[in-house]
This record gives sequence, structure tokens and C-alpha cells, in this order.
Amino acid sequence: MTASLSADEYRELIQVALPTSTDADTVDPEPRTLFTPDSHRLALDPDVTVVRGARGVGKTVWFKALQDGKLRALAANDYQLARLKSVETLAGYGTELRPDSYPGPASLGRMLEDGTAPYDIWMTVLLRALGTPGIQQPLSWPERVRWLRDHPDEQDEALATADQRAGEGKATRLILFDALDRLHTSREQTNRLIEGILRLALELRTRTRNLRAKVFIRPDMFDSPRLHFADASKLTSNAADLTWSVPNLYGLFFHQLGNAESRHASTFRSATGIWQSAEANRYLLPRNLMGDQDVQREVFTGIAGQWMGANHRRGHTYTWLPNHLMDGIGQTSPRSFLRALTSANEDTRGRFAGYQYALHWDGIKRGVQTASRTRVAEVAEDLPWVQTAMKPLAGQQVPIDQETIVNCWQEDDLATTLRGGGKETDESQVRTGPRNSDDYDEIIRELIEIGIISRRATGKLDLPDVYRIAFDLGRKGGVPRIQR
Amino acid sequence: MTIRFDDAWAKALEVAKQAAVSTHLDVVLVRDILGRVSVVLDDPAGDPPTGSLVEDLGVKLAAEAGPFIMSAPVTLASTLFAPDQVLHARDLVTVQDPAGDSGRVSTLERGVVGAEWLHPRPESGNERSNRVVLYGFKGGVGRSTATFMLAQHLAGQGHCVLAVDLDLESPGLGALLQGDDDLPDYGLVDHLAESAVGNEDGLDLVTKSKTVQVSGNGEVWVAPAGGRPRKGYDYLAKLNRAYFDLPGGDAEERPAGLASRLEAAVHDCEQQVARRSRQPDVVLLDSRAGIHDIAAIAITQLGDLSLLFGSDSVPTWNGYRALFQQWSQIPERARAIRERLRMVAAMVPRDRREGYLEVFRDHAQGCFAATLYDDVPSGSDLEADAELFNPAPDDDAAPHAPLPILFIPELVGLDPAARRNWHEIDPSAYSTFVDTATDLILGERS
Repeated sequence: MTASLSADEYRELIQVALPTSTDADTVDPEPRTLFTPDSHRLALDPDVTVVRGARGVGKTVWFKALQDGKLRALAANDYQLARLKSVETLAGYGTELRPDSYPGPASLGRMLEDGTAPYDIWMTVLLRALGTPGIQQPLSWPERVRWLRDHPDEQDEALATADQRAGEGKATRLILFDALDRLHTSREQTNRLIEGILRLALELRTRTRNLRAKVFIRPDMFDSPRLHFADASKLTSNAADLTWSVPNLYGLFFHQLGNAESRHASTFRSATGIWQSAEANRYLLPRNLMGDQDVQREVFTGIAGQWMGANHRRGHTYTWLPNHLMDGIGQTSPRSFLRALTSANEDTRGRFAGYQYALHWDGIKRGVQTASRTRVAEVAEDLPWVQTAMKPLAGQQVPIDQETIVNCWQEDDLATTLRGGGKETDESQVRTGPRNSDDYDEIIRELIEIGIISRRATGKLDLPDVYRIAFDLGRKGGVPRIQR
Repeated sequence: MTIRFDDAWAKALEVAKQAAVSTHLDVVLVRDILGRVSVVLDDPAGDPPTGSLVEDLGVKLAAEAGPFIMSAPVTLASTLFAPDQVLHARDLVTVQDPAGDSGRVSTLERGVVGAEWLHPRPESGNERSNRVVLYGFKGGVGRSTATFMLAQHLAGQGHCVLAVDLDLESPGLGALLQGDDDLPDYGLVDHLAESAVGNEDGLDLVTKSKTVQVSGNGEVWVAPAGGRPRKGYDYLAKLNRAYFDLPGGDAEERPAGLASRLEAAVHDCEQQVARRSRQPDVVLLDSRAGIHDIAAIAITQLGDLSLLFGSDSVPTWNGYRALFQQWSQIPERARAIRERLRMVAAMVPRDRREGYLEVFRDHAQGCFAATLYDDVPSGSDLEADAELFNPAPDDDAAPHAPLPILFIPELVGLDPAARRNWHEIDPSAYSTFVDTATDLILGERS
């Protein structure tokens, strides 16, 4: 190995490499920084319809990347997924307001109020994207949907024609749906709209050869609509998950370091093995740095030291970091991971500038805390009812019995609060609420499903640290705190 | 209603606390070897409390303690021949600090096994070998075999290892590591017996293991409990005298307590290895099971790290809980010792290891949390939280996170003398244990 970077050089490199904002809504993916973890291959397969992913795991990144010819080609190469090259993408829904391509939340809301069937709305969006002549003239979405309803024969014909044409060009036309949490403010209406999208997706799979849909969706949203149309199970069985293993997370970090616009990036690359130059300014990680935990650990040790403290029994930095960002179902989002590293870097620069490694263990702890605060804010935004449900538990300590939790809720009459009976409740909390506000055991099941709490082997319930501190629960211990 | 042992103590403690408030004096509640209690008041010189106050206190204590009352229930420190032996006794446990007008309340347990659990580890200036205690609250969980495997693994990595058999009641490590003929002339028990009369110099206590074959620079040395069996070598006679604390330090400042005598014995073993080869990098102390003082001394005073063996069973956890509670009486002690402990899940059933380990982990976590981990109240901010020690159940670096050893049926009822190649067993059963333990022992150096 050639000369490695000094602590200061590493800090400089990390600062340049990691974006201050890690939100895909505001930062578009680009060839240099697009990372292709092996576990995401299936999600990109055009035949996979439903792609589940929690917040911050890359749904919007792939939604955007698939629509960009260059990035799609790049992913096709990295994943040896040649078919991706002959894919033509269409936008079915996304964060960006594109009234020309799909109706926005306001328009969707109005159409639902008027009794428009969600399936019809999405079929209209598809036909418009496919360039079906008749549907291009009307100016507003309600009018276009009305045209569709008035011309059932032309609908079938348009689909068949588009399918045939795509087949002649040996292409697959793929309509993409993202940002489904922004379809509607009411959970019930959102569920209806999602069901419409899923029915359309299934329709394309069963009735056409070359038209496909891909739906990026949060797991809790995919589970909530009652998928009671025929063959709905086909979507579940063929769904893919955007997950991040520990090697994936470090791979992402190292990829950003090796591809940063910094003079230290090339030093980092030459110190860590043989990187492939795939395209201009884009370097691919050496195989072992991508998947071999021992190799990754060694490199990260060069950045953060080996141990999480002066006391060597406090654990390895390499495992400590992702473990402490993990939620109740064992998932760590890359967004939290990178944010923790960014913050650890800033903190070390401020407080431990003379430390022999780039990241001080105390800085890493601080970074994890910053990341978990953000994480909780995201949950509060996505699922306001979770915060409402957790509030009565503040002051408790984990591990905790299910009975104790239910008692807290009963005392607080959580069901009424969730139904909107309480004064403090704002509308959105009610509307995105749990599947069943009255069944407390069911609410616990739902909280477990989304990783806020977890059930231990002994039956007791626990909260991962990411959530425990923010929701103001303690942890039982026998040694009283030192009074100061 | 009959007053039982536990109630007598609890009630007497209440009386002692009240006395600290009413007399404004420091109070020591003493319990003797039969469980009988009495109170010592630390009265200021020349200003004794009134006789009626002392008498009232005595009557109250007698009423609460029933049969567990000493003939002189209240004693004034000023009347004691050597008050420091009570007021500044080594085993004194503070249960309540002085506050306002009220004095300090302490307890003192006299003449019972178990006091060693409360003694701190002596500060030692010189650089010592990494000493690792292997202990199981319940015996028969494969602790000695694990000691063997760990020694072999460490030596395989080039380290010099000394394995000491501290299980004097049922020694076995010596036989695992060495054939009878190759054992040294003497063992730990000889050092304890001879040192009582200052005659321990020149004992041959260690031999290099022939059973463990090491290629490379590693070595395994063994210090057995007893010497090579031979005519006229009386193990039992020495064992019977090994545990007693000797009468106070003599003119030559000869160490008297069992703890310091054990420390001296282990130290001499280390020196012998250093002389005959090199300073051992790691010393493994195979401790006996149970609440015995030898185990207490090994864990609290000899070891840098203690590996606590157990299978997932109610007696195991009740035992560890009782043990940890001893330490949690003194919060500083709990803080000092908890990070030097690590659970080992022994005899893990191979076919359901994952589920077994999950439950084991939760039971261990509950046991540690209730006694040794800091209480983390709600409402603590992130900064304060990070300072407290209460690792999450899934924290793999936590003391409660078990190092697994898989159950190997062939090792049940093993006679190492009859099967000299017994240790050529499936290495996967021990791989996680030896790897993680090595990390913990040599972390900073490896």
C-alpha cells in the first residue's frame, strides 16, 4: 500500500465528499457519486413492480436515476443488467410538481371528491405518457379522465398499440411512481390512490409484455391498503426491498471518498487497492473494499481508530456506528449513516483537532446523536401518530412489559386522541393514524413492524437508542446516577 | 410473629438509620457470624450520649431483631479498645451518607465468607500480565476446557500464556494441559501452605504444557493446583489450611489475608515463567465455582477481565444476581468492576443456538441492568446519556453480550489421561469465544 492520508487530510476529504444535505429531493444523483450496492440489483429489474424502502434508503435516488439515460446506463453496467439499457421511463408520480405529466395533490384531491376512481386517474396518466392521441387535447386532468371513461375501447387499443410498438423497438416502457406519501393528506384517500396505482401495475404485468410499472413505496404504506383485488398477492411475492447491509453502508462512504472532488481522493484510492475507472471521473471500489468486512474495517480503523473509547472494551468503531443507528428491525438508513459521519467529522474538527485519527470516538457518538434527532424528526413527519402514541410513554424505562405500555395508553385515552377527540390533535395526526386506533395490542404490532419498538426474546419490549432518547424513555439500571 | 434472619437485618438497618438522625452520630450496624446484630455509635471524645439514649436504642433494636440480637446491642466507639477496627474496617459498607444533621450509616459483616467480594482491586504500579479470570457461578459448564482452548489459541498467535488452576477444591486444569508425570513438583496449594510460615521460596510451580503443541513463538505454561502426585505428597492436608486468613502481618510485613497470599502465589508463578522463558503476555486464572472467597478474590482483585460462564437457567441467573448485588451495594465498586466482566454462554445447543443465545442475552442483560448498570432516567439529554453506562440489549460490546461456546457431547465425562488427543475437536464450537476473548484481552495491543 502506498502512503495513506493524514488525519487532517482525511477530515478535509470527508468534508468535501459528504454532502451537507443528504436529501434526494433536493440533490439530484450524478454519475460521480451514484453508488450501486449489490443488494439493490433486484429493485432495478424492470419486472419487479413494488420496491419497498423506508425513508432515506434511496427510493427517490433510483426514481431519478432511472429517468436519466446516463445514470441508467451506468447502473446497467455496474449491475450487468443489460435490459436496463433498453428501458424507456415515464414519470407516473413524484415529488416534483409536473402537472403536464401527472396531477398534483390538489388536483388529485378534487378528483377523488368528485368520485373519480383512482384506477382511472392513473390509467389516464399512463396513456398520456404513452402519447395516446385522444387524451392529449383536453386541458385539465378531470377532463382527460372523463375522456378515458367515455372511450373504453380506445383505452384498450392504446395499451395494445403501445405494447406492440415497444416490442418492435425491443424496449420496455416503464412508468415510475415515487413520493406516494405526498399523494394526499388523508391516509384513507392515500390508500385508495395507492391501490389504484397497484391495480394498474398488476394490469400491465398480466396484460402486456413490454409495459411495466415500478412503484417505490414505504413498507408501512404498502402494507396498509387492503389489497383485495384479484391476484394482488402477485405484487407481494415479486416485491423487492431497498436494504443496506453494513458492508453496503461503508461501501457507500468509501465510494464518496474515492470519488470526491478533492486532491485527496486519488491518494485515498491508491491507498486502498485497485479502483476501476468506469467512466470519466467515476471510480469503482475494489471488490474487497465493497464486500469484505475485514478489509473495510481496516480502512475505517485508519480513519476512526479501532475502539469506541480509551477503554478498548467499549467496542469496535466499525460495528458501533451502524449498530447505534439501527432501528427496531435492524435497518440503518444510508442517510442517517452519512449524516452521522458528517457530524462526527465536524465535531472532531472542533473539539479534538489534535487527535491522531480523523474521527474521534466522542465525535462519532455526537454524530450518532445528531443523526438520530433527524431520524426522529423524519418519523414525526411521516407518521405523526407515532409521536402521539409514544408521548404517554415518556418517563418510562425499557425493557418494558406490554401491559405497562397498554396501561399508559389507557390512562391517557390514546384511542380518543388518535381519533381526534383530544384537543391537541392536529388533523394530519388523525388522518395518517394507525390501522386501528382502538386496539392497543394492534398498535404495538404496528410499531414493531415499522421498527420503532422491538420485542425481545423474553417477550419484553424495547426501543432502539435511535428512538429511545428522543421519545424520552430511560433504561432500567441498578446503579443510581451520581448526584452533582 | 417469628422474626427471621432477613427481617432482623432489614429492621435493624431501619433502627440504625433512625439512630443516625436522632443522635447526629455516625452509626455502624455490625452483624456477627451467627447473624446477630449490634450498633456502634461513633461518639465524639469527651461527649458521650446519655445513658438513657443508649438504653432506648438497645431496647428498640432488641425488639426488632428478636433472637438475632447481640448481648450488648449498643456500643460506644469511645469505649472500644481498637475503634478503628470497626469504624475504618476494610469491609465497612456505607449505606447512607451523612446529610444535614444526620450521621453516616454503615454496615459491617463479621467473619463470613463473601466479604472478599467487596474488596477493591489493589492499585499496582508495575506493568503486569493481562490476567483473565474464568469463572462460573455453577460448575460443570466446561470452564476448564474453555481455558485450555483459549490458552491454545493465544499461544497459536505467538503469545506466552500461563494457565493457573485456582479450583483448589476440584482441580482439573493441570490434567488437561499436562500428563501427570510432567507436572511440576508443587502447586498453588503448596505456595499457600508454605507461605504461612515464610517458606515458599524455591517451590517449583510451573511447567510448559506438552499437550498443547504450538508452532511459532507461542508458549503455554501451566501452574496446577497441586504438584505431581507422588508418595508422601499430601494435598488435602494443605488444602485444609489454605483458606485461612493468617494472624495479622508479622514483623516482616508478611502478607496475611487470603487475597494477598493468592496474589503472591500467582505473582510467583508469573515470575517463574519469566525466569524460565519470558514474561507471560496473558495469565488465565481458572477459578472455582460458587460464592467462594477464592473466586471473589480472583474476580475483584486479581483479574483484569473476568469471563463469567453460565448456561441459561434460573439457578445461574439467581446466582449471578446475588453476586452482582454484593457489588451494587457500593456504587463505585459496581462502576469499577462492571466493564471488566463478560458473559460466556456455555454449552449452547447447536441445533437451536440462535434462539438460545437471544434468550440468554436478555436474561444476562436483565441481571446486569438490575445490579451493575447505571440507571438511565427518562429526561436525560443526549450528552448525559452518553456518559452513563447502560448498554442496549443488542450491544455486542456489552458485558452481558454472550460469547458462545457450542455444546460438545464427546467432552462429557472426559478423561484427558485416557484420551490424550481429546482436544482435537470441532474448532467451530470455540471459534467465536476464543476470537472475541482474544480481542478483549489483547485489544489494545493486537
